[in-house]
Amino acid sequence: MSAFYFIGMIGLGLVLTLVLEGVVLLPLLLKQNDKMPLAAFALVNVATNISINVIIYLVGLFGCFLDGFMSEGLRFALIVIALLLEIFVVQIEYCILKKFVEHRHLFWYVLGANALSAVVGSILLALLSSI
Amino acid sequence: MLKLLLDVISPTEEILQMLDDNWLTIVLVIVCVAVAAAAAVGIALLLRRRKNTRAEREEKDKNGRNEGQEKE
Repeated sequence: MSAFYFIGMIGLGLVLTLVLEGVVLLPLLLKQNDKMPLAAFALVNVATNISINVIIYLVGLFGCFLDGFMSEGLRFALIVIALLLEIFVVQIEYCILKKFVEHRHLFWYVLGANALSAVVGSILLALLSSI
Repeated sequence: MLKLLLDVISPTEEILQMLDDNWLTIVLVIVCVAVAAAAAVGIALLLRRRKNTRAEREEKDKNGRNEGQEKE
């Protein structure tokens, strides 16, 4: 994977995440009449999305380096790591956003937004990278 | 013992070659980590600001209540 491909995928992934999660969470964030929830939402997503992508990239890179190629086992390990990281991210995002947004079902909104962004984002990125 | 340890931790030709081939990616990874860290610091600052704002508001409310009681 070239360096520009890497940065393009990370940038695109971040933009897709912000748009898709924004679609779900924006009604809650705008209700607060304050810019702080919006800033918190953007910052949390920048921090978590970039971290997840870099971790997955590095694990894949070192796995390929050790195995010599992208094996089935490595692919499975990457999916498991991505899922675990995604669960961790939902927790972090919820813990931070609940300090700024008061809503009974905030956790489910955050979970839904992350699930939507993970599924749709993965499909779109896979389609784009196959072009 | 030390030689054995150095043999284990010293980078092999393969690793050096990989670092040489992917230096731009490594720089970009470091930049990404820096951006993520900056965002984390931003979140910490936002949380602190929110805490200060809330404390100030509570203080004002308390003062307002005290003044009201004194007037009564």
